[in-house]
Amino acid sequence: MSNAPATAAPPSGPAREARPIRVAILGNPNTGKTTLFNRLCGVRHKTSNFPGTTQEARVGFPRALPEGSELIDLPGIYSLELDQSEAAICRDVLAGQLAPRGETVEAPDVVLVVTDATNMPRNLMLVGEAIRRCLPTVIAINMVDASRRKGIHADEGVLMSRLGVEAVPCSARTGEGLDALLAALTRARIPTESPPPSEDGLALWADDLYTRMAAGYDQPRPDTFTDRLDRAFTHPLLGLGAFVAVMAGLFFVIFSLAAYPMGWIESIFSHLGGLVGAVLPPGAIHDLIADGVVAGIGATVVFLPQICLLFFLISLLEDTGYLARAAFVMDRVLRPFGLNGHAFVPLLSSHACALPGIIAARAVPDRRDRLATILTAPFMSCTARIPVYVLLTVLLFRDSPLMQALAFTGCYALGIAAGLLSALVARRTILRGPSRPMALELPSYRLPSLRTALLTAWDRGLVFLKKAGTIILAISIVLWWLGAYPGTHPPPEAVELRERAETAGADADALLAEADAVESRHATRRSFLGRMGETAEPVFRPLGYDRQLTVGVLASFAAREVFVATMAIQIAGRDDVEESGVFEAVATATRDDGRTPIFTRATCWSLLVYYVLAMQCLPTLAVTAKESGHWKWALLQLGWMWGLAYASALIVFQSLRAAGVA
Amino acid sequence: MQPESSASVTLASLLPGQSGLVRDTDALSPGDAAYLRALGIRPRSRVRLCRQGGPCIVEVGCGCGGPCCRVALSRHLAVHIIVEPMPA
Repeated sequence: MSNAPATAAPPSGPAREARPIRVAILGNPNTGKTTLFNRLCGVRHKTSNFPGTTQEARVGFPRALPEGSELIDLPGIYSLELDQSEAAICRDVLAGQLAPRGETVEAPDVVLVVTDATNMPRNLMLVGEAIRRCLPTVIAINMVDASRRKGIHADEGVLMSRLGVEAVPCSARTGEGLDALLAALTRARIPTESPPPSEDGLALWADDLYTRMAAGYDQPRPDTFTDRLDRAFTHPLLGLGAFVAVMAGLFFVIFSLAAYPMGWIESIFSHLGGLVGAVLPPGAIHDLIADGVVAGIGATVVFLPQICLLFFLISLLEDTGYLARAAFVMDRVLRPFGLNGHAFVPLLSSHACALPGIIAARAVPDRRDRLATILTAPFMSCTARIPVYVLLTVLLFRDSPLMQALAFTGCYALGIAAGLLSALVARRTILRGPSRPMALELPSYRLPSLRTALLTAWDRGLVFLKKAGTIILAISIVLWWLGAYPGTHPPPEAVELRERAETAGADADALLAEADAVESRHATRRSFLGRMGETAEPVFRPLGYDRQLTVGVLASFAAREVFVATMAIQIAGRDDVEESGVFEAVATATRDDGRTPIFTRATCWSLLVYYVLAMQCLPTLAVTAKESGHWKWALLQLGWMWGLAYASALIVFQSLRAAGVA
Repeated sequence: MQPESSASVTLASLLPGQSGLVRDTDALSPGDAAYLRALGIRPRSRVRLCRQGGPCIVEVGCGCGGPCCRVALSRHLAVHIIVEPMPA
């Protein structure tokens, strides 16, 4: 370290009165902008979007600024002048032509430009573009702790005296310098410098400014740590191995840890349903609250732990700098299918649940690439398909666990293949156009911020509950109503069983259980859903499905896993297929003719293919509509997936039947 | 894409570890050139190829010799960036 030039004093000026200020936070990606926002606002923020876009907008309310002050977290951009939606949003917000939904549309009082102290030369370009706007400006020189470790030094005094605005060295991670930064925001000044109008001129201006800032300091040391790690993480083979290991670890943690809170949630809602059942008198309101509302909310909230955990871990990985390397490694694999490396995490996440996968597609920078990723994600086999896969593979190969495992793996492979081919078709038709060539910053490796990861998980969880929950709940209630109404009188067979139970002594419980099962089967068959099954049966008959299977497919339109419980109710009158005797009853069940088995081998294969490919998840459609910005994409996804599933199941069933497979 | 003179090569043809000065990015589309300029890859900036291939990894410094950042670039972009190799 050499002699350091004297640091200039902050520009003097009268302190502003304690009136609320609106601050727009601008910065390059990977400058710690979000960490800074989280450090200043914590949970005191709300998440919405910029009107007319799907770009998320976070507005924070920091305690340390005058009451009523707001921080607007703008999208991370490399330049305000780029022809990209994120840059257009930033331009419009700074020009006072756009504001987050629900906020007054007016220019911000202060622009806070967050820069990375370890990469100042490039960051100064954006500083120059910002001060061209002639708005009161403050520059945060973030990550000074990292820059000191790397031996990178520059004099912020030169910046202040040249531009006429305050520049505050700070670290959002450690909290260093944040009090000074907040104080600077309340006395922000309009810059006195105006950089050249041309982009080439701006580049020379930024180079000259940095040269002056760094004059008198030693040259930075080479970053050998990043070099060494990158040699492994971006190696064609080692990198792929590391990637597989990291992702396997990620999903192992999600599956193993999320199982506990998911069990608790299911238990809580089960108790809640029981409580409602005990408090409310029997009747329509009782059934609506217990079986419609409580069960519907429970079915939604049960996914929350997976979603929160996934985004918590992805945030940690992103913060370390590894996620950019993962995108680099996977780019080679996905590029031939019209997707890019950014798509991999959303696609992998979709194997847990398509909802977080589709939300994670926000990380894909190009709109066409992002839409292709969203359309592809639901093909990945999610956990909701697992009960269906288990039932059908066991029915197909009862005595061969090896064959069951192979069939199970085949389902996953079919989903991935169908997804990639669908992406290819989409990119060559409705999403035709050049992919944005990969130009991806690989940020320096660093320790992740736990606070940022926790707040990201919190944010994503809230968004999921607010947006998807309302739609899912409404549809769950409709489906419950269709399955529960109109009420029917008990069939004569059930009445007779109950009469016999009154005098049966020790066998009474068994007879009553049998009566309940008969009533359930009868009610399901006579319900609106049951009648719809009868009406729709001709549509599904070419796939090998009878009336009961058609009801199962229709009932599971909102959620695939419902198929297993619906079949168990129809056949055995109980919804737990693992209950003693129920699986056997399902396996040997016959159609209405009393002779033909429901689950023939050809039907099982047809169903398996159908459930791998079909869009049987209403929450996914709701989230697709939200994330793509239009319902037409959700309807296209529904039509394409359902059409592909129908055609494939038809081919499988008819081919097997023609080959003599019963 | 052919370089302008014998002293110039494309960024994709640098050897791993070799540095060069960017001479021009004119062969790129205006949108790509603007995006790369924002990332720091512009005439007179210094680049060092860290890993060859498609995509390749480039270390990007500015014309003032300041700290660098790393950028992964598709081969399509790398073959359209003309650089003047620098002695080791």
